[in-house]
Amino acid sequence: MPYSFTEIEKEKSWVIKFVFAFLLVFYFFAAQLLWVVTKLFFNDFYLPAKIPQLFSFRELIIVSIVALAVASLHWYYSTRNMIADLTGMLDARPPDLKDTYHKKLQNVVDEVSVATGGKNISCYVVPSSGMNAFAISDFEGNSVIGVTEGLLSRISRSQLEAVIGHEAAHIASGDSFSTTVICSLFGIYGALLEGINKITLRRSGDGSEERISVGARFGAYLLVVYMVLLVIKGANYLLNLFISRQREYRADAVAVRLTRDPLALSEALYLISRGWRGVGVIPGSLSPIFIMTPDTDGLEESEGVFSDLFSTHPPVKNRLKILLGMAHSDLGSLKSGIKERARTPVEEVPVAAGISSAAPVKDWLFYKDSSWQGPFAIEDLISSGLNPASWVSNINEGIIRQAAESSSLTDALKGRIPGPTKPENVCPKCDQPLSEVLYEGAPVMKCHYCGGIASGRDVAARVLAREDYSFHVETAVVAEALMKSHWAANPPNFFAVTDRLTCPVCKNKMDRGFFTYGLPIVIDRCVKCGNIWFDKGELEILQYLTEKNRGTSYYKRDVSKPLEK
Amino acid sequence: MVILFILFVILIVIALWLMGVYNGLVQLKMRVKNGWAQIDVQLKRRHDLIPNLVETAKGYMKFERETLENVIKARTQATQATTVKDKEGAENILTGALRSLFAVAEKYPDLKANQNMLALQEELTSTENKIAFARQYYNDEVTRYNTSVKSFPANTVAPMLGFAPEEFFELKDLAEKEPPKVSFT
Ligand SMILES: [Zn+2]
Ligand SMILES: [Zn+2]
Repeated sequence: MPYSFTEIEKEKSWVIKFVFAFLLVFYFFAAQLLWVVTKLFFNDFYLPAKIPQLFSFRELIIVSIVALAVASLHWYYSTRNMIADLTGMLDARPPDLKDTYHKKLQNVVDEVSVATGGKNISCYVVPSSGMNAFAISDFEGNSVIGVTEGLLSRISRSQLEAVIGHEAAHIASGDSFSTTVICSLFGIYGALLEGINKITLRRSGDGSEERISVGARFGAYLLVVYMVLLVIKGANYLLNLFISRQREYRADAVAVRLTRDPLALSEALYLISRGWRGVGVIPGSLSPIFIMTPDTDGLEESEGVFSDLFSTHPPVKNRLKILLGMAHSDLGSLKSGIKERARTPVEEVPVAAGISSAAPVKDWLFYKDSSWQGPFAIEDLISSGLNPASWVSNINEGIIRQAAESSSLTDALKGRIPGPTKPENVCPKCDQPLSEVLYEGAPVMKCHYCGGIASGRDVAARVLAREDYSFHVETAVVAEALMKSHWAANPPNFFAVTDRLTCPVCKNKMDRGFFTYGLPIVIDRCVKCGNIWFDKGELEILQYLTEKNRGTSYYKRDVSKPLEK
Repeated sequence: MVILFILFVILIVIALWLMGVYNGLVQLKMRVKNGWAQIDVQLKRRHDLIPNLVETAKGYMKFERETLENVIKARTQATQATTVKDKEGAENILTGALRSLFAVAEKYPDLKANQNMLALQEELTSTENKIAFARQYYNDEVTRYNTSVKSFPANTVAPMLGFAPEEFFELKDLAEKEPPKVSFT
């Protein structure tokens, strides 16, 4: 890492002083302007003959004190909980370590933390199917690297290492601290402003009478807020002048030094630039913390004095040119080198039996080659050629019997080694215990009897962001037919549902409804804990339809034929 | 009298300088120690993962007894090594044994698809990366420390104060990546 601890601390205090001074000057001029305008306004009415005295020393002092107070308040409230505020806005969450994708992210972040000499870096996941990554740090030196679900599911491990290396470089150099302060001070208000813009635009487009009267009532209030936010947004633009585009090049270089793999970083940048980078409803004013601007605007990709000044990120083609130069490669071979990710058929797998702590329980003896062997774990039995007629004995029971007589071995022989079960989680349809399995890397609960799946709300969102499964041919057929018939038929009356299911987690009665209006698959949802019940195959149909909406390359072929291996 | 006074001043200056050198070297040595502690933690993690890896592989690789035993043997030796140089040698032998294990595992598609094996491989990859990064960090700190021990004027007193140059830790990568095609020109 290029910077020493003291250098970073020095730069940190410089950033704090500079930004606060900026805030102070900004509010001083704003207050002064407001004061002069007010005076002129009243003077015009009452004392038309007298030219008002615009500046006086006493007023200047008062204005300064007001500016200082406002700036301090603004600073205090915006920077109290910077990490919590920003991650909250982005809806970022700590990783679910049972999830294989999230575990991989945690590992990679731990790795770069070691590379920085043991810096305290935690990782977060943003449940968005867009592709982006960000880094933030606070005054105490706590740092967060966040990655969207979409990025996590669509890049390889080495590409992920490169992206995380880039973010770690921002943290180590102190870049992320200054961007975090600036985004906390201004970005959040910018976000508010863009939100108001969207609402008012929608209102005027809507045109219904009720909306207009509501709009009129809030109109005046909104206008004032709008003006204030506009001014703050202007300040944000001014501060962005100091966020140099150079820092992105620098972070790219550090990432390459760490991973020794410039090609992986260029591939990752290329994939991110090609994909949708949106992060939920998050606007461009938070863009400095991201690896690539969430909003695509012409400014980022253009060159020249103006865009160099106002843009926080350099054009991706310049970044790629440098990286590809290091790798002795070029854009053409980069594009042709990016292979489509290999897909695997839909298959639930048991949760891995503990990595370092609990080894699989070995309590089965197996009569094979005329002798008793073992003890084995169930997995070992299967791999050493167990069949239903084999003689086995469980150490704990001490009886000799055939494999077919044991329910757990029968399950295992049928290829369904059950994951861990909890007696309180039972299938809402058939009362069988649900077992925890990984579905496309995400932990869900499955009924091995009816094939239904219970999944948390954000777990389902994760599955829908991932693109590693190739679907059954029937899924495509059923999904297409469903979409066609849905728009023709009358919508079902969900209020008349009489057979409400019981939530397998919290035992609340579940509500039936469409997954979303765009994806009219009927599912059951628990309003209390957010758990969703998918009947057999429904999750796969949803995955198929969301991927189709995203227009992934999987659909540029004939979906009625199975994917070739 | 004047000479005595001058001698006294010179002595004090020398003492102050010695203190400065000593403190500086102690700090640098602490960083080397911290760097080594990081490596040690990761090496231990590596050793912890191997029994599970061998257990998982055993069920599939019945005819590869020798390969598996080599890994176990190399692991035992690595856990017993104490000095930096001993560890370096033992860990490199272990890396070699693991490499041949993974080479053989290529022949068993069922093993490669095994969920436990995949999870273990992810953990091992992560640990290997951490070892590589910790090693980089450690070697950087050793370079910094050694440079100040060996450079004038500290080198005249460093041996007396008990500061000897530290050894680097070199380790082969488990994944035989192609040599990185990087140039910073
Ligand atoms: Zn069921
Ligand atoms: Zn519930």
